[in-house]
Amino acid sequence: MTVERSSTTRHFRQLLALNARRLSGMLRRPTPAFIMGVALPVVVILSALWMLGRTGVPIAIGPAGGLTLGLLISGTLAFAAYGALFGGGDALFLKRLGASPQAIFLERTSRLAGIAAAVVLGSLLPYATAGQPVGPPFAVGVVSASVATGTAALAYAWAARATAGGGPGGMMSAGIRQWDPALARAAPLIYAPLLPFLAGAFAGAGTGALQSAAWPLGALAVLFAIAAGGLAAFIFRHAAGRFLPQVSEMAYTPPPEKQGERFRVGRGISALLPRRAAAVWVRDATVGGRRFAWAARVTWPVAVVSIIALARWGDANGTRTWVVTAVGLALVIQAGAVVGLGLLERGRTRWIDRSTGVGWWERWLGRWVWSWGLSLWLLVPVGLAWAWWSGVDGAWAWPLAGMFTAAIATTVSLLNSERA
Amino acid sequence: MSDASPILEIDSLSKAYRRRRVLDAVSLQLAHGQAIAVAGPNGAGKSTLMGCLTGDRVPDSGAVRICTHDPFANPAAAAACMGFVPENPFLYGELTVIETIRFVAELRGLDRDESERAASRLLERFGLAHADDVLCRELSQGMGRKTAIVIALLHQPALLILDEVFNGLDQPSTEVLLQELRSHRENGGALLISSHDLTLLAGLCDRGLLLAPDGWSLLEGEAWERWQDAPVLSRKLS
Repeated sequence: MTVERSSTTRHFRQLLALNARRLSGMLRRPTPAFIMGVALPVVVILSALWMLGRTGVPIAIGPAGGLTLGLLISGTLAFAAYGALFGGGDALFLKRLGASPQAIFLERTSRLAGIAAAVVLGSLLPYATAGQPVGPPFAVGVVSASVATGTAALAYAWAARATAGGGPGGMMSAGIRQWDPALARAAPLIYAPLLPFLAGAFAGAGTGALQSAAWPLGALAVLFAIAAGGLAAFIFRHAAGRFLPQVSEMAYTPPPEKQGERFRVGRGISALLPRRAAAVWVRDATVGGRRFAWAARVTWPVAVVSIIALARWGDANGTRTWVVTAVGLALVIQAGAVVGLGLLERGRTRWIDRSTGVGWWERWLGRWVWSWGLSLWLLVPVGLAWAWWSGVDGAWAWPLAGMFTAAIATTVSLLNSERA
Repeated sequence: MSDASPILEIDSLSKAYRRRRVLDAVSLQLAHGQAIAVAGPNGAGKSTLMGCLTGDRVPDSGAVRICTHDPFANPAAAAACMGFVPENPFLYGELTVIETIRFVAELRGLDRDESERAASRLLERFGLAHADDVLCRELSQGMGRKTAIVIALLHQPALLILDEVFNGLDQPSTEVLLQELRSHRENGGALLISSHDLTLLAGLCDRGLLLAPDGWSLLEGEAWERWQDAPVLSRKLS
């Protein structure tokens, strides 16, 4: 069969087209995982940013304001960079098809640039809702995000090369080499986020201080990001062969020591339930906790932001409305995990319950206790903060809302698991 | 590459996970038209060996050459010469079967008309012609595997590496795959294939690479035939 000469540009274009196709597929036919894992968290974040502006947060621009905004933007991008650059899941598949490593890295950098653009636009929301001019924060955002994106691409490409080449020598890995050589080899990846975080923050501070030159600085920063992305892809080219499989191997989590100790039925609160229901609860909590870890993770940001908002502006109607909305969305996300567990069982693991003779009410009780328990980590602290700072009665309703939501989610979950 | 030079060369390949050694200095060569069956119990390192050949796993030591190319130093050149079906093939859930195949053809730089014809023939052969507009996330395990097989065969590679490829395939598809593999060998292609059902590989492979937790062994000729004929529970590495 005729084979054309491969080229980075051609592969880059094809990968961008693939991204567009996959994204449009996700939007046209969204999966529950996409709705729960991406769409709803985005709604929560945007509503939090909106609230920030409505509550009149002081957001002046100057060196300090630029530094603050720069830290927020570059911190977000430094945190997201590893996942955007190396977390695609299809890199090995593309490598096996002969895709140019440079094209793969350029395409991943363009994903990071897309995230950067979304972060900059999102950061303007509080300014817009507060009625403040968005020009100055936009300039700071563009400079900070561009510098952070370009620096992240360079830092991670260098880190990939160092990791693929056998890891760094010297002080970088000195502290961890003794007890985990595999982790020591990955030391450059551990330190890589620091560079974009600091560079983006200082670039933001500089732009805040030099507002008159903000637009030339913005153009310069964008040019830097493009050049850095190209250079980083070139650096990555030689590392890709060994580094991409290393990423896959690093993603493997060996089971923790004495893992079986945790899986104990009949201890603690589970002793209060009938034996089979208790076993279902412990099983669901273990499987759900590993398969849908995001359901537990959503608790902490929502709880922390809600508590701060209630403590600071709890007497405002807008704040209380936002807290109820955010907690409601978090409960929907958690309910999604409970329903997802039912979907996971359909045609697969439900045979275990059937063959061991677990009754429907035992399954329902065990799953409901897990679901309610999951929500209590969020509802108890928010309920207490509501009681102390909102000036409105009804804190008792929070755990009851969780109980009710858990009952609905459990019923839907079990109905789904029993569908043919 | 001349027909005399081996398509696959493995030289003292070793790999360990943490402290558990999985591959210990495995060496072999595979020339045009040759086929090797990789056999061994669960966890013996069959998938690890294949991963080290395709560049999905990084060996601790040793060298691999695919059509004279190092899959780590020159992954694109090695990929052009190889078709691989992993034990759990990755497919884009958001793309349909035909979109996935077209994407692969574009990425490999294949001639569009030729690749469309080859894809149509293979889809027809494997009974996927009616399902070419199905999203990959909706495919059954067997149909997903057949899609991965079509992807691996599409560019007529010199070397096919197939990991537990018969899992989940129905009987007609198994027969079609065996015919395709025989035809691949007759046309000078090389084959490295693992399967727990060695009866399927009878007559297809001329050598057997046996992997076990305590080492490895390469059987050929009568030794390989005797090993295949022996009762399963009495088979030993040596």
